[in-house]
Amino acid sequence: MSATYNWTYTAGSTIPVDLQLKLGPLAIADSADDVRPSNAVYIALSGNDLTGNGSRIYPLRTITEACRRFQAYNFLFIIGAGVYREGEINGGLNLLGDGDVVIDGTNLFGSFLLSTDIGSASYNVRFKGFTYFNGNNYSSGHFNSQFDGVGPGGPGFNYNSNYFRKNVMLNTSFYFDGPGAQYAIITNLIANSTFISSNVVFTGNTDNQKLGVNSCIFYNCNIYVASIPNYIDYCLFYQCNFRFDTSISTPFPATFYPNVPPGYTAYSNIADLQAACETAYGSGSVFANCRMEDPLFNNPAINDYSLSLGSPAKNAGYLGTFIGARSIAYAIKAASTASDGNFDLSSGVNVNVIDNYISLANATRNGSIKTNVIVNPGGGQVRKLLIYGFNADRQGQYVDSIADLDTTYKYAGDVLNAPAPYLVETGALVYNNAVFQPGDRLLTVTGLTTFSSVTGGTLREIVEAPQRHTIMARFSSGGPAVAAGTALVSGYWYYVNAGSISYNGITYNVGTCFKAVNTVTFSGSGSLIIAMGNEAFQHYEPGIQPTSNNMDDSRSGAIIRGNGDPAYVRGGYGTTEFPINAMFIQLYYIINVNNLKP
Amino acid sequence: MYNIISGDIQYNVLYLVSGTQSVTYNGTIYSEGQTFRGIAGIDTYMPEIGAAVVEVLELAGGAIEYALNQLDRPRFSEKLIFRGMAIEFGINKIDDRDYGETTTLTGSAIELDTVAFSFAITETRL
Repeated sequence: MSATYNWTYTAGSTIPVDLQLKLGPLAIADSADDVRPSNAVYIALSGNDLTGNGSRIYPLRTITEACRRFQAYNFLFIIGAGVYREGEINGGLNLLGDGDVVIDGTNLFGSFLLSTDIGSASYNVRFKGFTYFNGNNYSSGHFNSQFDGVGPGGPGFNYNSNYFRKNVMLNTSFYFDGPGAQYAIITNLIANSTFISSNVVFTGNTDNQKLGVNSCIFYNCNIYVASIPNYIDYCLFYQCNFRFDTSISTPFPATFYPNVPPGYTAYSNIADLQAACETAYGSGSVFANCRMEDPLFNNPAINDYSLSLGSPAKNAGYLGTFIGARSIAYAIKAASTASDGNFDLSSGVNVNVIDNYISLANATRNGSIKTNVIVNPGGGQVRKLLIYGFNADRQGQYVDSIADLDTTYKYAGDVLNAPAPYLVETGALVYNNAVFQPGDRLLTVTGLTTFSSVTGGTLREIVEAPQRHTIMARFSSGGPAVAAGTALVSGYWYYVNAGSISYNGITYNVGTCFKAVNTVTFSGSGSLIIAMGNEAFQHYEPGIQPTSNNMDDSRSGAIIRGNGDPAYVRGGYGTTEFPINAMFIQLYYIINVNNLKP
Repeated sequence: MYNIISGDIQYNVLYLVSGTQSVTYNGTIYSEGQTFRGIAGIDTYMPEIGAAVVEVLELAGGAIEYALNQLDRPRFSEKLIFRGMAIEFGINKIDDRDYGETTTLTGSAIELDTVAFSFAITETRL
């Protein structure tokens, strides 16, 4: 039986901690893999709306169909990685992204109604291009999600007990509405989120209700305070326009700083902002502990809003960690000049590298490139491996999916399972009157169980995880010291752990890594250790914490496989799965043109 | 690679002309093998017969994001500055004591660039 996806959330899995804030300590009900859990529905690009039943093996294909079959608010929709190009999705939805999930309503007259008088929630979902987005009414929660080009049609978030945490708002327009007067003891909490070039309106916070904002970054935004929140604390503003009045007229200007729309004012410091708030609402203390500074994002040009190591948002949030949705990160930049970027240009295969873009030289063939070895000197724990791209299956992230293949090769004339997915290998073949080349995938149809060869093509059934998005990476805590006069190993990476050395006429100082390109020895007073030798690359899932299965189930044991590997054993953080604190990191990006279509 | 029909051109996405004829986009003619990037607000192109446009996969960059909270036990080698300490006396009716002079409350701080740790320190101090 062909499985479709290596699900993170399976029978008995508890949902993410953030989502529990909204849905409670929910666990996926126990069920066989071909039976839908009583409280969840699985949806995947490999699913089928006609034959699927919402189980892990037979997921549905579309969110729309899931909504049609099930009263959405009674179920948790678990969505596999990929792009779901669907508009007009309505219902009280509880969405849990299992991987890189994008719901794209661009050019589809996208309207997304997350709830109508019914609670709803999302976790790890990127909403893109929905011109009308309604997350209002009653209990809603959005966590670890991204809103890209959403609104301004929807009324945003209002009524009671709404949570909005760890989200990125990009080119989006939203109301954050205090609860209506008829409700009591209501909390709308907006925390640890990053707003980029967005219009934000605070409104409706009346009758001593609760609307609070803390630890958020507002970057190049228009902020319309039509009703004063109870608090705006520990936030960082940069190049924002503010407006204080209750009229809510023309709340969504089309321009941002340095343009200042009518009715808005660009303040240069927090004291002036507080004075304006005091004048308008008598609430000058609202912007307590806030700052106006550049948050120093790593690379806004490619939508990388993680924080650079020197960011003022680091360790400055209400909870003591960072302000905004993204933690501090080491940026991996593409640059045509090797020294300006973080890629090992000599490792590139079928790629062109220019500043901030790596594209395929031949768009019909796969391409790949490795980064330099990146030094993580303090052993900081890796939280996410992020990938940025404007294309790549249209979800803004590239995809390197790996297929877990059956060990049995099928040759011309052999009987195939049907329907089942197969990968073409070795040579070309003909199936169902169509010619397939090596690397192609085909889905057998009932009644057609054989194929003929063109140039010796063979097939292997795709039995697991045909669409898991992965990034390859290898990690090391460093090898032995290299004595002066010792020949270096070509292809190995070395780290200068003291002083400075000279190799191939180039001087490397302490704290730097370099790749040996020959066996020449180094000179100088400094010392070297091997940073990365012949460690194998493993598959990891981008966008979530990379974890690994380690030898002896030990945190310090050698890595066996990463959490993007189909054979990855899920069993519990710190029990069979371990976080990664390696001192040396190298990533390997593969752009796969033959991935399944969205 | 996905064939893109006119009307589906998206902002900032890179496209390749793959057919045997040219296409016109934003007033410019692009021939087979040439690429163009989508412009905001212009989602259509004019193809010649036999021309096709496909989307090109493209990687912009990446990042390694580090954990920064108590659960994930950060171990960044950052400076720890210990600036002083104080003994704070409880002064109330029950514990009333006469020190014969004005009690001076001195400030103290432990500055650590990973505040997760300072939570624990604060707890201990209180």
